[in-house]
Amino acid sequence: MTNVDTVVRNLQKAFDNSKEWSSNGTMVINSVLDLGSYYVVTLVPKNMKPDDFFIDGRFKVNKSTGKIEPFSTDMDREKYLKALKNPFYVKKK
Amino acid sequence: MNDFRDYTNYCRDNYLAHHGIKNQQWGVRNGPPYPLDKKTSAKVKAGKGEKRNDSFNVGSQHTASRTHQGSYTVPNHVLNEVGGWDNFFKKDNQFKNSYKDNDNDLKEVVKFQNTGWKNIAEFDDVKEVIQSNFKEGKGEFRLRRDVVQDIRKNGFSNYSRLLNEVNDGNEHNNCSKCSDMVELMSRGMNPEYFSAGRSKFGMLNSATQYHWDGATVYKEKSYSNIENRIKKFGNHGSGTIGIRRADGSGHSMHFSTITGGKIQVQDGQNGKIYDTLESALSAEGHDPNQFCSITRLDNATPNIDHMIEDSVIRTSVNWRNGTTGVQNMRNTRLYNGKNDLQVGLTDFNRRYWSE
Repeated sequence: MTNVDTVVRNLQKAFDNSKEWSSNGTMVINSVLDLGSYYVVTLVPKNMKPDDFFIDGRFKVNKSTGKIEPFSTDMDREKYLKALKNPFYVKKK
Repeated sequence: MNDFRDYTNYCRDNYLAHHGIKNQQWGVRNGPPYPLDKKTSAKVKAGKGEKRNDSFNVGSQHTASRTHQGSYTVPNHVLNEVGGWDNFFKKDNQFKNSYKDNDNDLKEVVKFQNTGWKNIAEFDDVKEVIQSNFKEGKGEFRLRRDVVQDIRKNGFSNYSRLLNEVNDGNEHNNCSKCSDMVELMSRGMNPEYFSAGRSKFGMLNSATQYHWDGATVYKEKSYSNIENRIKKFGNHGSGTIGIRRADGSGHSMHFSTITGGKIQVQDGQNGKIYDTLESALSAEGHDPNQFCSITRLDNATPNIDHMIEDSVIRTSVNWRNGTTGVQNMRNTRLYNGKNDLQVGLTDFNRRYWSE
């Protein structure tokens, strides 16, 4: 079974090196959803206030290759909505 | 003295305003705004090497105004039946009013019109509406305004294809930009789809308020509170609604209050239309325990400079109709003290004819 901590740590490392998100300051992984063949990882700004509305921030991570792909609507929407209720990992507050 | 009064009265009563079109030559009365003479038009066309688009014959209607009587848009065949403008103005008010331009309605549309952006009238489904009405003798100008009013009144139900043009169907973290585009479309403009990724603002409120001058943001929690807030905007209100999901991500959609006190939600990212607020929020996975961000846009003004800066719209090249759009818009629009767009009826007509 996949170690959640390892997955999150590796992803965090990958996103830290990504320049795309630098305008929002440090980004942290807020949650990981398990959708079968891939994870949906949601990033939020580290300093996000509780009443801020962050626009999206979701990525797909292929389980077998570890490749990070942009999130798109071609994924199974119902599966995603179902996974929202039972996330694989949620950042401790 | 009496002679002078007679003269001014004569000028006032018999003044017939006509304005030309772009590239119109002095003394040439063949073509809009004058009726097209079929015999001589062939020579003109051959000389210029241009092909006339018969489906949108801009020479088929006339616009005239008398300073004290308002302005009228009358199709050519009606004008011929009546026997010219002089006879038209002698007709009773009931007849004339059916062709009278409503200045207030026009200003609403004119406010956001510009030459460079692709007009919604160029879309196939909108064209069908315009052409079918055109056959009834109303005229394109009046009907294009109707299309915009129809969208403001009834939402995008009849124009779903228009909504699908906002995005290519995939999500690019550009939901706030797509919502802005839907609002621009509902005002009669259609800027080119620009899939340049997310806004430089990660936060929805900051992005929307940067793109629109005078946008007000509200935060509400339950469905009933959100509905009540939006209904306070009155008829034909519009704006964006931001949701929060349980995984921390968010989404932005466009809403409008349509006829009958209903709220329609349009998702510019995937072209979906939701007839109720609840269906829209649940379809996007909104967490009912979280707040929704409601930004009112119907009384806000688009900040073109900020939209360009944040890549919501393109700058000056590669527009769908091949013109230098925003630059044209910036040059042609007129400002009043409140930084609002204010273009006169005549100006709009001239631009309409030159299209």
